[in-house]
Formats: sequence, structure tokens, C-alpha cells
Amino acid sequence: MLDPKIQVHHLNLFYKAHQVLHNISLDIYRNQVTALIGPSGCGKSSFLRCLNRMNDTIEGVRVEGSILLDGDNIYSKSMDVVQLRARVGMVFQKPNPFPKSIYDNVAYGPRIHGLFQNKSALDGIVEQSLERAGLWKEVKERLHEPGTSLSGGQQQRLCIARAIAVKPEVILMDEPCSALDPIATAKIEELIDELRDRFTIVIVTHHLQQAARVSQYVGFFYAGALVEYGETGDVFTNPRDKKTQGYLTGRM
Amino acid sequence: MTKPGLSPTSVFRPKPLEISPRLLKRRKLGNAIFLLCGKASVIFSCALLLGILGSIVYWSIPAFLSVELKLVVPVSKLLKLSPSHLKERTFLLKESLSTTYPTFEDPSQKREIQSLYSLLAQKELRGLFKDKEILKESSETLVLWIPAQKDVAAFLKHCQKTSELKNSKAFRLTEFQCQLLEKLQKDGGVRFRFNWGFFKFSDSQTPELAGIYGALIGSLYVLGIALLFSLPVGVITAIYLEEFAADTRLSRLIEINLNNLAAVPSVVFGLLGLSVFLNFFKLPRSSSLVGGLTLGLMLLPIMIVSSRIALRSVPASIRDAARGIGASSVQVVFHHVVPLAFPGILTGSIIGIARAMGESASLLMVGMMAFITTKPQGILSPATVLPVEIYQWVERPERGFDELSSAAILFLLCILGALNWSALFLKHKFEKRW
Repeated sequence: MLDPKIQVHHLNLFYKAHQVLHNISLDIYRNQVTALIGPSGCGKSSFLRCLNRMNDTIEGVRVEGSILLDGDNIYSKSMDVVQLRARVGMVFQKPNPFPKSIYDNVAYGPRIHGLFQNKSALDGIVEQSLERAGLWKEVKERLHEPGTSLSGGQQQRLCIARAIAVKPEVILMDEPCSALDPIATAKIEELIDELRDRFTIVIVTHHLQQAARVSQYVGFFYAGALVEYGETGDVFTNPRDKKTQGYLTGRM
Repeated sequence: MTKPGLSPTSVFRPKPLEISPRLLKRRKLGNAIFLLCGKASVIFSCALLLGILGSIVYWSIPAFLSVELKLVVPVSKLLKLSPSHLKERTFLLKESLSTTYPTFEDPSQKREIQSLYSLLAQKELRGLFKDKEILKESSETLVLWIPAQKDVAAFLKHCQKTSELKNSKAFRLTEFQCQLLEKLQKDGGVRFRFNWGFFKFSDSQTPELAGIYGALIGSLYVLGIALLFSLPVGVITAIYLEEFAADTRLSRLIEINLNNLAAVPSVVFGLLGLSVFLNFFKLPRSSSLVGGLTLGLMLLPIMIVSSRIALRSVPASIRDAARGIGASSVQVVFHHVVPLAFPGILTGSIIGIARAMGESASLLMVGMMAFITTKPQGILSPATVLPVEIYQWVERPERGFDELSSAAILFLLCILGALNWSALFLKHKFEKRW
């Protein structure tokens, strides 16, 4: 039943001489939402970006340990980064649609990966992705308007549609609601719950209630270390570590 | 003044902040002085610019006027004569002059009259008599308007403005010529026209037949070659350095050197062009090719620096977004970053072109100062460019070239203005917001 999608073993992350992550090991389970919480600067976003090697582009970053995606080490030489990122998609903190049409935003991934045979197949992928992101009804009349003309919440759902259009196995979300109002946030949370049956989701959030609402597993990071990891219900109601307790009650 | 005792509830009310009136006054005075200084300096610089522009316009007005003198050609009389007469160089002109001014018989007077007309007169008359069939259908005489010789033109242009200048010696004309011209002006033998020749003619020994056409075409050749060389190389270098090159000591060294190169005086590039293109590659001197390559060298660092700024202004979030769905670095750059940076690159290039358009020092070093009376024949043949033409005209002692150089400056300024304006326009048109 609980089948690990991603297994992290003894992960250390260095930025030049500074160690950002200390010996992190955890399993991320298939078709579950895993939330990563912790105070600002604790390394949870850095950890998230290790999972699809987005840190590679930053100069001076060094990774030790291993991350296995379905048993394959993503940091091995044979792993193609471009293909990895198609398998492990990402949604960012600030909605960042391309300054192109809504259609082209969603179609970009399938286009570069050649995921369709003809135009109508691409139309199908775009419609399906927007449908899954809960945006289809709102934008089907104006697919050729720029993606940047949408509201913030719609833009973020467009980014989610863009990420799921390449049919990834895992979706990483880096504080996806921090720039959104409560109603848009509620919609995204609902969406995350719906997406769980097809994708494995890892979400970084500052919002404890959000973590409690959407996730099945939660990991608490503090000063670059994973302090506590377990089922969300357990961690929230019965934290074992003092630091977790303090953070959850707002007394650090 | 508020009395605490009067308040109905005993809520704590902080005393309102009191700033001493002297401090307030000083602060306001400081503001006022700065605003005044700012306005004054804006007005000062605007006045300077307007002054320069105004004086250029004022000096260039006479260059846009051409003075033409009437010449009556006795067509039917000349056609009756045998063709051998027509072969003599000045025969047609002499006959026409005797018809136009029948009262003057004395040969010295005749010579003085002939020297009022520019050298174009003979050329136009010969052209007229090339096709005799058309002439046969015309009436007995034909009126031609011939540009006046440079001193005559100066006399007629300026004697209206200042009467004390009517002194014939100031214009190197004889007493007789001056009197004749004044009489002609009253009888309608003189007319002023817009000087289309300024845009049609190339350089010439005499100002009334000199224009900017050849220099303009030369400038276009040179700019075309410079762009063909520097734009692709500059943009590709900028993309590589900005998007792909690792941040090593070497790349930082290159960056510093590029910024330095962009500020190097253009004469240095001229010397480089001289030693590389002329002395080493033995390319023809004063050709558009050498000038263009030299300007291309000068433009290259400017293009690289401005393109890098444009690329850097594309937000990281767009790169992240593309990378996050599995685009390779080349795809990220060419699908997203370059299209978004394009307006900036375009603007930078146009400003670079404007700089190259007004460049003279480096081109003088490679000898782009050929005296050519036609447009350049190709990229390997001698040519000159607008700023160098201005420089040469300013140096010439003959009256009339000063006006021409002012007019050419005005024309150059108009082109530069148009280029800079189009840069601004294109930037606003293509810029995307995110």
C-alpha cells in the first residue's frame, strides 16, 4: 500500500563552503501529499529543489548522498536532467506563466517533449490539463489571450495545468499559495487533493493549517535538518520533538 | 493647546509631535532650493541645446536655397547652324548669353556675364541639344534656369539681409557684375528655389553643385557592413556569456575587458582597422568595406554590453518555469529568454547604429575621406560618409561650404533623432509585461 516513490538517503547539500542540508533521509510515498514545514531559511525549499535537480543551475552547489526515483538515482551520470524534470514537475511560489497565450502556456511542455501526434491530440492534452487544473470552464472561451491577463489564482492554476500537461509522476510545489488570496488558496488546496490520485505531490508551505488540510505526510525541517517526519495526523497531534512542538504552537 | 483634564475618558493620549518651527523652516527652504536648482539646470541645458540647434538651423537655411539665373536659349537660330558649331565647347552658352543680354557687346563684359553662371550651364545646354527632334517642336526661344556661380549666389542670398554688404569686393565680384545682378533681380532674371541638388549631388569643388547624396550612400554602405559584422557576433557572444558561460575568473576578466572596450575612444579602433585591414589584409584604402569593418569593431563591445543588459532583464522566474517542465538550457534561452530580450537588443542595436552613424575619427584613420563626385560604386571602391563630409566641408575656404556643412549637420541630426525615436517606439511596441 505505502510504496515509496522517492527515497532520499543521507542527503547533504552544500552551497560553496556552507552546508545547507544535513544528512536528510526520508521516503516520499506514491499518490500521497507530503508537506514540508519549518521556519524560513530552514532548507525546506532547497530540499524540494534537490528532488528535480533545480539546484544544478546555481553555481557552487554540491550534493552528497542519493535520491532514488523509482529506484534510480537521479544524481547518477546516466540520468538525463531534462527527462527528470519532465517526470518531476514543479510549481513555483510566484505564479510565472510565460508571456504567451493560455493555450501556448499549457502546450509548451508537450511540444518540446513531442508528446502528441497531431494538432487535435494537442488540443486534447491542453483541454484535459486545464480541466484537471480546474481552469477549463473559466478560460475555454479565451484560450488565445495572454496567460498573464489572468488573475493571480488563475495564473497559479495555469502553472499547475502547464506542469501536469507533460504527465509528470511527481509534482513539487514551492509555497504555491503564498501570493494568493484565501479564496484562490482554497481552490488550489482543493485541486491538490484531487490531483493526488494521479500524482505524487510534495508541497512546501509556511501555512500550518494548509499542511494539515492537504497533506497525508509531513516533514518538519529546522536549521537544515529533518527534525520530524511522519503521518500528518500524528505529527500535528502528537509531536515527539520539542522543536516541532514549539513550532506548531508558535513558541520557538 | 489641549488640556488633559477636559478629555471625557482617561485614555492615554500621546502628546502630538512638535517639531521646532526653525527646523521646519530650514527643511522647507532646503526643498525649495533643491527644486529651484533642478529647474534652473534643466532650463540651462535646454537653452544650450536650443541655442546650438537654432544656430545650426539659422546657418543652414541659405544652403537649402539655390539661386538660379535666367538663360534664354535661341533654339531656332541655333538649330539652323551647322553641327560643327555645336561641337565648340562654349559656343551654345555664348550664343544664349548674347540673346539673354543683347545690350552688352564688349568682350570683357561678356566674359564677366558668363562667369555669373555655374559650370552646369554648358552641361545643361549640351544635354538640351542632344535630342534635336524635341527642340524643333518648341518655340523660337527657350528659357532655362541655371544655378548661379557660388559668389553670385552668396551675394544674392546675403545682400537682401544686410545692405552694407553690397560692397562688391566682399563677394569677389566686379562693380559691373553687382550692378547687373541688381538689375536682373528687379527684372525677374533671378529666382530662388529649394535646393534639391543638396540631396541629389555628391561632393564637388564648387558649393552650388555639392550635395550629400554620395556621402549618404557611403554611410549606408558602411553601416550595413558594420551591422552585418557586429550584430550577429555581438548577440551570440552576449547570449553565450550571459546564459551559458560559467562564472569563472576568465569570464569575469572577459566581462571587464568588454566594458573597457565599449569606452575606448574610437580613434583607437581606427588605428586597429588601419593596421589590421589595410596593412595586414591589404584591403583597398578608403573603401566602405574597411570603414564598415572598423566601425563593426567599434560597435561589437557596445552590442555585447547592451544585449547582455537586455538578457539580464528577463526575470529568473521565466527561466525557472521553462526549466521546471524539462526544457533544456538552449530551449530555455531560445524559446523564452531571447524573444523576451529582443526589444532590448533591438533598442541597443539602434542606439549603436546611431553612434556609428555619427562616427568620424576612426573612419578618418582608415582614409574614408575620398573626394568622389558620384556615389560609391561598390563596397571596395572609395567612399566617404556624412560626418567626414561635414568635416571636409568645414575645412574648405570657399564661401558656401559653411552653409552646406551646417545643412549636412542638420540632416545628420534629423537622422539620429529619427533613429533614437524609433528605438523608443519599438521598445514600447514590443515590450511584454509579466
